[in-house]
Amino acid sequence: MKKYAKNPNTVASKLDDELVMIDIDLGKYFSMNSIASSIWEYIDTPKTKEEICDELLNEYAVDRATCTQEVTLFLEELIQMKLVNEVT
Amino acid sequence: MASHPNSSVSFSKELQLLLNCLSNKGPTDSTQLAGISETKLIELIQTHRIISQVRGPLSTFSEGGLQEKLNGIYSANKFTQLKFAAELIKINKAFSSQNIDHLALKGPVLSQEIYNDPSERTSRDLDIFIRVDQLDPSLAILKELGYELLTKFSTPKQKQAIVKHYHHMELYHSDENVLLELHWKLSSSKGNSISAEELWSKSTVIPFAGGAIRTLSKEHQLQYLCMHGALHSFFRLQWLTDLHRLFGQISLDEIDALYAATEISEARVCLNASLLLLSELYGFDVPEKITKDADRFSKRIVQISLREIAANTSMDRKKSRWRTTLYNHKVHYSISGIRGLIGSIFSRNVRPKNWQIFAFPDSLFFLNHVFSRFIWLFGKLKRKAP
Repeated sequence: MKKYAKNPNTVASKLDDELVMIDIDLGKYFSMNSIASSIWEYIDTPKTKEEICDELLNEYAVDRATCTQEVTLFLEELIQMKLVNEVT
Repeated sequence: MASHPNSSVSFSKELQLLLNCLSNKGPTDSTQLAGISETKLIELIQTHRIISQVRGPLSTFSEGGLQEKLNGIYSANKFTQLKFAAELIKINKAFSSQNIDHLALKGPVLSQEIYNDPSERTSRDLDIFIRVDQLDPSLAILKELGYELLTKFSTPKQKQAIVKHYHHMELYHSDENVLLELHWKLSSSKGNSISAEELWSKSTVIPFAGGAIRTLSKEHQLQYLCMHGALHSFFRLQWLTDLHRLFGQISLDEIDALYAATEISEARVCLNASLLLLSELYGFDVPEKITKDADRFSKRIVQISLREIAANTSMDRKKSRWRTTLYNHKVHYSISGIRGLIGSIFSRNVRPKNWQIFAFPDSLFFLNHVFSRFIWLFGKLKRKAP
């Protein structure tokens, strides 16, 4: 099953409820809202989509189907921005 | 104005409010912000580089306008510090790949150590310590990364003079807007300082932004920060705030051990002065033995520092350059005795900027020192001429 891991070439920090980060090589800044930053924290160690959803379901009032759909979209976006890598 | 018990120095209401925030004494209600000049407060926060430390306590009781300004400064600072952290990681990788030994000083690494966040502390530059015999390859790597040398030299004697009388060279990355200081000594002090070999042997690797980076040992970190602050008469509260947090992380027994370790070095005077200032301004609990043993040199640094802190709005410091120079000589004398004073006066005659205006050849290099003031004046007049 596919796992998702952070691109190690980033430095991140909390800015109130948001997470802000910089891509070291590109020098580009990104920011994430509180749910997105929770996902970012979960993937400190590589995790599957299901494992990420398990964590989110513990923290937020959401059903599994919606959660999986949102997480999938978000991870695709992060992969496109090269902030997250797929690992096996 | 509030007077301090052990000195004749008075602090403005705004400065006192910031000190209360830094020592966790307030503000406790919105009345304590009454009569405070917002402009002056913001100027002080930026001059003392303490936005991250005072935004929380001030925001609780401040009105919309001030709160918005504080949040704006804090956000801008956060992005700048993230860029510094990213740049440090790039340099760390480049130096490691070419086997250049290096230690990260202050900046994002200190921020990580104190706040567990590389971007929480305000820095205006990066500081990297290298072995002096690796200066040339280090400069070559930094040039490749896009840095331009600001401390310019063009002959072997000029380079030799910089290495002898200075402790770092300045470089600037114009695309990234990052200033970097490349150090081969911890300070310009001529006294009995920590040896480079001791620094390297006790240095330690810490986790940093998903990787690792080498920095000073805890003991040397504290000694360095005390010395750095004392040499600058602690004119920025940020330096005392760093020490307040770091000393707060260790036990009184560890402070005693540090005190014993500095017995024969000039670091003792700086450690004493730092702890006395922390006790006076932050209410830090200092072991009695240290306050009792404090000599006149430490006390003199405390007095000078209190005056410099009180005077430190950016405008006041510009007006008082001569006073600052005099204080600087006094501090060097207090830390390193007559040798420190002579070194401090002499090093003012080694001016790499002069060499861009006029430089004697290496065979007559000493004349650069002798005529230093004249060349400086000539350069100044030349710039003013239409």
